Amino acid sequence: MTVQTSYKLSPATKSSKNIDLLKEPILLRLGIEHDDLPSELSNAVKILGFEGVKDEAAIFSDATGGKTEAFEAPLCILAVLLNPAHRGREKRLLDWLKGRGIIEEPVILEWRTGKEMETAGVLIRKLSGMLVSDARRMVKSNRELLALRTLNDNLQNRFATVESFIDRKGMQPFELAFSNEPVTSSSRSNVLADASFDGVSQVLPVASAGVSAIAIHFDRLSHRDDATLNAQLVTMEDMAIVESWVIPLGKLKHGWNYLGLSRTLAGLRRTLNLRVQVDGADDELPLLSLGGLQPLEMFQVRDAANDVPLLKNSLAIQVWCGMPGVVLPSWANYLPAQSEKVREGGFREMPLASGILDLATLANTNEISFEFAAILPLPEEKAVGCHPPSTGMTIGQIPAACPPKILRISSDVVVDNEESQDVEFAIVVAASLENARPLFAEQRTVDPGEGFSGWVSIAPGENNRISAFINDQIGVWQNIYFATRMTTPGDNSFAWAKFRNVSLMVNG
Amino acid sequence: MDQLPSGEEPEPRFSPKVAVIIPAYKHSVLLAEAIESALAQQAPFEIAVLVIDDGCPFPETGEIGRTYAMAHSNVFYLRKANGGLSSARNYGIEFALRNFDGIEAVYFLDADNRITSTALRDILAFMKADDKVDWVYPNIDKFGIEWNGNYTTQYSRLLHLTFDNICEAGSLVSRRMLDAGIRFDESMTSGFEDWDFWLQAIGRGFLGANYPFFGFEYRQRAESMLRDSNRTREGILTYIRQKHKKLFATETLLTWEHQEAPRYAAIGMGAYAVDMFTDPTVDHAKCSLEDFVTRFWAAKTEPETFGVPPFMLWMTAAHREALTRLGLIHNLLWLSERIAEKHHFVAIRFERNNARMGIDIRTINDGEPLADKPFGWMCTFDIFSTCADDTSDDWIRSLHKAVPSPNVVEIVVSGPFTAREMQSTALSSTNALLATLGALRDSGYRSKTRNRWLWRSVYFPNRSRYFELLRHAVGARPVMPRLPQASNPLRVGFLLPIASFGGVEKVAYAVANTLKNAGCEVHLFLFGKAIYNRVPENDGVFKSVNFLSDDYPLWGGPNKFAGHDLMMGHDEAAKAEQIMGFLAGLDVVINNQVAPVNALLGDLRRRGVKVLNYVHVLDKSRMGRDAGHPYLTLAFEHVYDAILTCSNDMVEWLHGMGVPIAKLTHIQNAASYALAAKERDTILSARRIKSQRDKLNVLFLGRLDAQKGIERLFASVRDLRERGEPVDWKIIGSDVMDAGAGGSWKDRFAEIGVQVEPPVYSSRHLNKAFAWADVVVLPSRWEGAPLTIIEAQRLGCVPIATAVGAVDELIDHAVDGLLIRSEDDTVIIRELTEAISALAADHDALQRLSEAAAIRGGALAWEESVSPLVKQLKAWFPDRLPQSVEQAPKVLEQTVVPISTSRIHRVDVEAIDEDQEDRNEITEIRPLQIAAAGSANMNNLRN
Repeated sequence: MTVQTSYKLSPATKSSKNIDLLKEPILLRLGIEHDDLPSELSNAVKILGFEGVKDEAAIFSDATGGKTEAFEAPLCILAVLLNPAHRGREKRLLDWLKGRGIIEEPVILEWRTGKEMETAGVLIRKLSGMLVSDARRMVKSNRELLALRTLNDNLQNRFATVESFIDRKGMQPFELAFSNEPVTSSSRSNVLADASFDGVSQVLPVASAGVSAIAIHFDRLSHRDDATLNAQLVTMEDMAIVESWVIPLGKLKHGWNYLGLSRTLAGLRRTLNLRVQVDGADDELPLLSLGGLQPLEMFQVRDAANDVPLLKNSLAIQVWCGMPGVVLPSWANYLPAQSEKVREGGFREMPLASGILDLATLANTNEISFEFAAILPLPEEKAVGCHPPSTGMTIGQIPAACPPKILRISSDVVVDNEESQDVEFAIVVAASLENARPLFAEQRTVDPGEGFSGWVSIAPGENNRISAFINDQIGVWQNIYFATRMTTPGDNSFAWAKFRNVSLMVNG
Repeated sequence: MDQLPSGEEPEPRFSPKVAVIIPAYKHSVLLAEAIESALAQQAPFEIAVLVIDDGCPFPETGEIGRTYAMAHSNVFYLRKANGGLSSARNYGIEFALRNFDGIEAVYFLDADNRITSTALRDILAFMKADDKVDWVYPNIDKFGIEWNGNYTTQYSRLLHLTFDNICEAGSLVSRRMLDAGIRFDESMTSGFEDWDFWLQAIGRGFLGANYPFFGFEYRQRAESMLRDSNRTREGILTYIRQKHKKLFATETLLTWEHQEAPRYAAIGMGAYAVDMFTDPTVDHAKCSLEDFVTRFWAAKTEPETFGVPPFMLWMTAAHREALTRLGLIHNLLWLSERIAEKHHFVAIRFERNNARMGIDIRTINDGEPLADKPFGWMCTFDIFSTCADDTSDDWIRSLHKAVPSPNVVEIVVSGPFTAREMQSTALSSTNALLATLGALRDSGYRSKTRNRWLWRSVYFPNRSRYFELLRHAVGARPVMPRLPQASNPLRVGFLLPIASFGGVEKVAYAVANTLKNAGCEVHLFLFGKAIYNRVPENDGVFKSVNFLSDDYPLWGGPNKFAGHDLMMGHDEAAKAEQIMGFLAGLDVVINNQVAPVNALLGDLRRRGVKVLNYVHVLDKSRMGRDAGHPYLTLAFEHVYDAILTCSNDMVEWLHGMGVPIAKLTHIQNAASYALAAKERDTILSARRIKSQRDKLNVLFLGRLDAQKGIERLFASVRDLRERGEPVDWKIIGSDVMDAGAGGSWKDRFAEIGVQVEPPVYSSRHLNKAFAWADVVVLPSRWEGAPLTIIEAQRLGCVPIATAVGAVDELIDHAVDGLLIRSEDDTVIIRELTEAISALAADHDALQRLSEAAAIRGGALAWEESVSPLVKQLKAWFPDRLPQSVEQAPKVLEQTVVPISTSRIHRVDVEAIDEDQEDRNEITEIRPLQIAAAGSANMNNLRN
């Protein structure tokens, strides 16, 4: 037999006070007016009156007599102060709590004038009991940590022994796990040239665990010595950059080029995405080889900027695998990664998603207005346009876009029209516009959790990257503010100022 | 002393968009890991983390919950009395809806699982990007016992119902689903409550989608609640199937197959377009040939993720439409599918025949080559896929030849195709097939390496084989690809052994016509010879005509009941799965004397189909024992929702034999064909002015066999001729070779100077015969409620008949006909002779009887007779039949059956060639049934 409950949908009663009961310890009073309790007590802890139960909800009253319905048991009831004249009424409260799975009943104290110290003593006893309990838990946790550290040391030593043995014997595997061979075609285009500034991306057909190198294939190379090939390996399930390469084009060779990882990937298996981009060779991009036509759209080579397939082919790729967690064998002829693996802890540079940039709006609407959108998300460019006024500044905002544990926010800044005058750019991380304004005005220094990049002047055609470092970390999400102003107030025609490729550096 | 600061700044209101609901029960330590993974979310919106302590007996759960709730403003620790996983999740949902106005979605995270830090940001964005996505479910990435399962394929309700719960509870659920009242079933405490949750959502029209990079991490240990659930899986599934009966109904699953994994790809000839459908008469997906080629190679590379229809058809849209017009398209697809699974290719050819529709199946070989260019081809994806991989063309190119190298079966569809429909197209279907193959082979997508690109392990079945999931779910193979129409009329199937001109067919057609006029969609299913002899009056009555076209016994079986051989569902010869597929998608079946199908009606009924049995006549064995379908009715009485009879006599017999009266419905027979009032008046007027001096015209109409009392008739004719009575005879009927009678009855009648005329079937010829006759004689040994009596009476032709079966329910002796009540042949012959002689001599008596007969015969109408059945159907299906029909005034005195609109467009009666060799299949089925009857030693099993 089905006994599915029928539900009233979204009852009307909503109260933040109700939620407050779930966030902090409280005292309950029963048959006692709030003003009858000493102010020292009500200043020390939140005290609510229990008024009864109606339709499964308990009714609580606050200091002003305002009533709140609560459907859930309060998080922590330190004690219930009971007027002796109302003895017996506490049963209703206890029954209601029991119905919510509260097994341990709260302490019931009869409140009598002149016996305040007695009550305080009971409370102190309870609190000290909790302290002792917490202390014991902490000690227990420390012991468990110690055991885990010891275990880790043992494993580390054993692993080292195995590692040296394998190294000595030359037994370390380095095997081709997947190969998508290059296909030649006279009509094929240069996929790097067709892609946006961010280059191309390719989802890999092999799980992350065990991957030690990715090979890409070039049909033709560029001879620009100052140009570099930038590659990143990102895990799709958590968007973590697990490896990066910055390789001068001069080091590349015709045919297969092996991008070796600092260590063979270990841990849970994830989907890998390879991003490839070339810097400084706009006029002579190397010809990255393609595999055959790919019927699975997910695996077609894509524009890294907007994740749209560029062609119906996959990149010509090879995936090489080895022993998880160890460096590649010395005989493997590979191009080393730029950085040590940062997957477990350390710093990670994370791009701000295009979807978040879409949320950008004008913040200082009372100060400036244009006939067009002053703040204009440009998802195709992974950018936000921020048009400066002739005088003053335009401030854009992205609410709650800056998570805790952020060390730095960075952005490319450009003036995307040759006819424009120079423009100044700045970024602030703050809790509100009111907090951001004095930072932009350089009237105060940053508080904990805030950041300010300072103003940077950019001429048309220049490309610079500005960064705001966060001053101490606080555990809350902050807003991102970005602003532009004319370096020389006056003519703001064609001032197509853009913040592009915004990224956050995360700790851990 | 510290004091709480007074006059604090009000903190910004906490307004989460997503609530993570974590039920906690005995996972007190791992709970912290789940909470941490929720707190680690990097998202540009606020997230509430709700820990629901479901009365966990471990104090540690409370300590951890309380600690996190105090330490983090967005963590809430909620306690409740133990009620199970469902109630805990529901508790969290209610809390979220009650307290957070801005909630857009909830995420269910079990206390021992985790999500990656970008999961909620990405999946909420994924869900919001498509308003057709109501929940987002992950691939399964297990840790502990490590396993990664690929769940990435377009969401399929068919898969979700028939394969497994493909949506992990750890999914993101949209606010609109919660607002629609979808909750976890709190009575389900043994697992699969999440499966039920999704089924509720499906039932309300919500759809899920997989996000391939979800970031869900499932902790798999050797023992878990899921493992416990799998131990009791069948019990839980029974509960789920019962609860969601409508979702598991065949028509629902068929509809999803059509939408999600269509069974047939019809590749256009010359148009480079591909239609993909299960039912071609319903709106369906189309794509270009290029897209199809891409899908084909994607399906070859990742068959669990991508699919193409498993059966490929090359036939023009015009030819498909011709089959649709004749009501044959579904049957043809069903037959082709059945055959394509056992042979390489199926060739389809049309033959024009205005007299009948039929199916002929021929295996092509040297002795029986392809007669002409096929109108269409069908093969399986597997065969075509093999051909695409093959480096040589020789084998498949031989399809151009009269005897191709592949194993080919030809289906010849005969019917009243128009001349235009018979014309071949500029591009032959064989060329289209080979051109498709060329397109696939030359495609750049063709992969030589066959590398798999998806790295997660295969779990789902092959996407191109979902039709097998459907088959398994409905216990049928293949499943008739017929979907309900948009208006969802009540679908009634009439099951018949053959479709000739017998009384059983005529009654079935008349009842079908009446049900059609009442708003039903009626279909005809023929289990015997695959020929439907067209009756022009019935054109347009049946939405479809369906031929089983298989070696199927029409009588008999290895089991016994009251001296009758019968079939049971488990007998191989019952072909249970095939018959279930043949009859799939009906709301009601009315079995009209198909004996072995009784064995499967119980299965149909369990699937929600209403099952009716139509009983006509109690037959006699050769030794004179009562036998036949009424006894089978007793054997299978349990499975019938209702039993229809054509006489009160049969009602009383069945009731007397133990059938509850509530199950019995008497449908009074009426004339089997409509007659215009003017035509009837003309005939009756002519009869009134007939001269008294004219001879008495006597008619016999029927089979020349023992049941019809042919020896009695012969003796009476002989006697009357010897006495020189003024009687003219017209004997119309099919001759039956009867060894006992000493040869052909036709010859014997000729010897006494009476020529037997061939049978007549059209209303025009029947009217002509009845108009000629003053008297019709039926000296039968047993009968039901013969239509001949009613049709004769309607035109003032006086019946003289033996009072067997329900004959005395049709004739009031000496008022509107004459009854002979004896059972002795000698007495019957004498009384028949005397009655004819008396009427020949007494014109006034004849006139009086004629007038009364005309009134009686004209008063009967099928609308009136069938009304109890219509009423019953409305009671069973209150929303499926138009109520207006019931409210329409009943024409009790109606003398002419109204002509339905569909009858206006009849093919001219003259088009039917009545001299076809198979016009009298009654004679063909008799020996078959007699042989099969075994112990019953049946003489005749038909009315």
